[in-house]
Amino acid sequence: MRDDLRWTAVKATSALVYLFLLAPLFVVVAISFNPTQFATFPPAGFSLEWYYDFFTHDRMLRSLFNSFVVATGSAIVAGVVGMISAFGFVRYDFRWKNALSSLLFLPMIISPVVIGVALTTFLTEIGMERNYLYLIAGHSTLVLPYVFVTVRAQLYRFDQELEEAARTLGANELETFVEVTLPLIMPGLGAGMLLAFVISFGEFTATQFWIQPQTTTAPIEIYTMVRTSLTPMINAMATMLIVVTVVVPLVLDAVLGKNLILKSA
Amino acid sequence: MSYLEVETVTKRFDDLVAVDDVSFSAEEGEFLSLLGPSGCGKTTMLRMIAGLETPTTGEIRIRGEDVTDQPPYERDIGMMFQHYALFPHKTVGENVGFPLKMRGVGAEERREQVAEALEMVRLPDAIDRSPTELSGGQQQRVALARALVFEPDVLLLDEPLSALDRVLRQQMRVELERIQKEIGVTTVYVTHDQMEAFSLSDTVVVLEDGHLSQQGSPIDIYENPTSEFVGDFIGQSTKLTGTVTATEDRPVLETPGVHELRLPSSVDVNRGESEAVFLRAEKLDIRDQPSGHENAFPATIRVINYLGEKTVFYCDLEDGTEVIVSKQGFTNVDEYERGDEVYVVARPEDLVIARSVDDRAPQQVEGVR
Ligand SMILES: Nc1ncnc2c1ncn2[C@@H]1O[C@H](COP(=O)(O)OP(=O)(O)O)[C@@H](O)[C@H]1O
Ligand SMILES: [Mg+2]
Repeated sequence: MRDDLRWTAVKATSALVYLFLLAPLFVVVAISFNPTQFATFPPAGFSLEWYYDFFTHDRMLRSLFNSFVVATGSAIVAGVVGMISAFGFVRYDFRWKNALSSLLFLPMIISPVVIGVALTTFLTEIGMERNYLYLIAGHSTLVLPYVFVTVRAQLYRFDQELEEAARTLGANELETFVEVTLPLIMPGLGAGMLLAFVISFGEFTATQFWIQPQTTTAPIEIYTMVRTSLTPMINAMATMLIVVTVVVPLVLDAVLGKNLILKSA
Repeated sequence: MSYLEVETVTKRFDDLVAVDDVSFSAEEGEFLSLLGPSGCGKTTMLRMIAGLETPTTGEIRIRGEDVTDQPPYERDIGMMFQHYALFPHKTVGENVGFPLKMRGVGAEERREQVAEALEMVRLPDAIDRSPTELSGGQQQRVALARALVFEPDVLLLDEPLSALDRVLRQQMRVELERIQKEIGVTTVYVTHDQMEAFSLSDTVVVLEDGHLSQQGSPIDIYENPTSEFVGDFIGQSTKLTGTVTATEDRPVLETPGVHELRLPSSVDVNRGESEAVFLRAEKLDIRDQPSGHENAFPATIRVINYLGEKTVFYCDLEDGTEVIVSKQGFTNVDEYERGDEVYVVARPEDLVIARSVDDRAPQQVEGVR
């Protein structure tokens, strides 16, 4: 009886937390279809006006495109590097292994402002221009730990006898990797890369230090616009961002039929 | 030159010697078993033949070709893993077709050969299923088909029946024998189960703690063990240790449990030396009276295990040594009960004495004539 009560309390609290977290998002999505200039809730009607504005606004489109390029590049770079590091840490023994693997998580813990500043100093020092590569280098650092953990978890569960079987059946190292290893770690790698994409896509704090006008990403463009002109087009843009970071991965997940995210969660 | 030759192979893992100076060979089509208790190095030996481990020293040859340092994918060896190691992301057909694909066999021909292989293991309808949907026994058949579909030089099996329940184990053993004979592939079979090794093999190689203890036919190993380890490990028997003395024409063993154990007259032993003799459980008898038997010694029945096809008596000798007597088709089991004083009878010819080849050397043959 008392357990029941406690359970109900837990459920109620969780519901409130979710409501608190998600309600603002719903409001943003709802008012992005609001025809009036000033935000009202509930919306006064339904219109795609702000979306029309958004899709005809060059700077907005440009920033969204930039975000796509950077997030895709970072997911790929972090995917490759994170996977290779995970293999190293799971399959081989070396000195300072535990200490080094903790080190890999630093980008998750250290404030992005610090990383933003530090990497700016470093990349400027080595003479790198502020182009896409600059941003991809920065974002890859930030999202690397996510790929690393998901692939590492997958590798710990991996039955290496399957690779041995493949080799006795005539597969060399590369064929074994392509035919057996990669498909079997794909859930972890895929989930890690999707996560990397989504985090890169929404990253704001460190990104401020790394952009120049041509490479401005969507989150920064929204922020700039809110500060200069408060147009409801922002809500349309924010809704697009939500769609890209939440809906696209889930749909991809379902369409590919692998349930990467749901499985690894 | 034999088909498969393992020559003075040693494998070290740091300080541990897993396989210690082992040599054996198998002819084409032969069924050879590596038999020994867990941890004696059987799997390590098999993995070296497959190329998954490299010997520290020694050489492995297949058809006369030295393959010691060849990677597994350059050898033509079909290995069935203890837990099958089927690829969970591939269908049964893709699993069986995998070695063919790796050998560049075209899709059309592959399909035919896969179907044939699945036919052979009697699973023709499983081709499009996922191996994860199959029962343990079916998975094993798929693994066998995959290991054989490319007609390997050697088939390696690592305790293939150990994960199956008893009935299935019997069936698979018969099946395995049928298939092996049918295609005549040279086979190395790893097991800790003497019954499996004996029923399947032409040759049994007994491993003890990394080194080869004895190699021979099942009969040879059972009747003429060359070491105390083999005498003890093979079969169900009681070991009696004592000192050799002599009466008239025969050597006799003085043991604490049996005062005068008469040995077969043919055996070469030295007076005053210590010897171990094995009493095979199925060759002993239980009698009410000692008269008329050469070796009949008093014992007390402690436990009677009636198992249907046989009855096993656990008896205590005078000094408390346990002796096991196993009788096939024993119908008058009711006549005995715990605590009965009986006589255990052992015919001298049935006693097994481990003689290593060295012990049979000429200088020791003088014996007690
Ligand atoms: N990769 C390895 N590293 C270290 N020791 C090993 C390795 N493989 C096997 N061993 C050791 O070698 C010995 C023989 O093992 P194994 O060949 O698996 O025996 P079996 O198959 O007869 O049970 C064991 O003591 C085992 O712990
Ligand atoms: Mg083993």
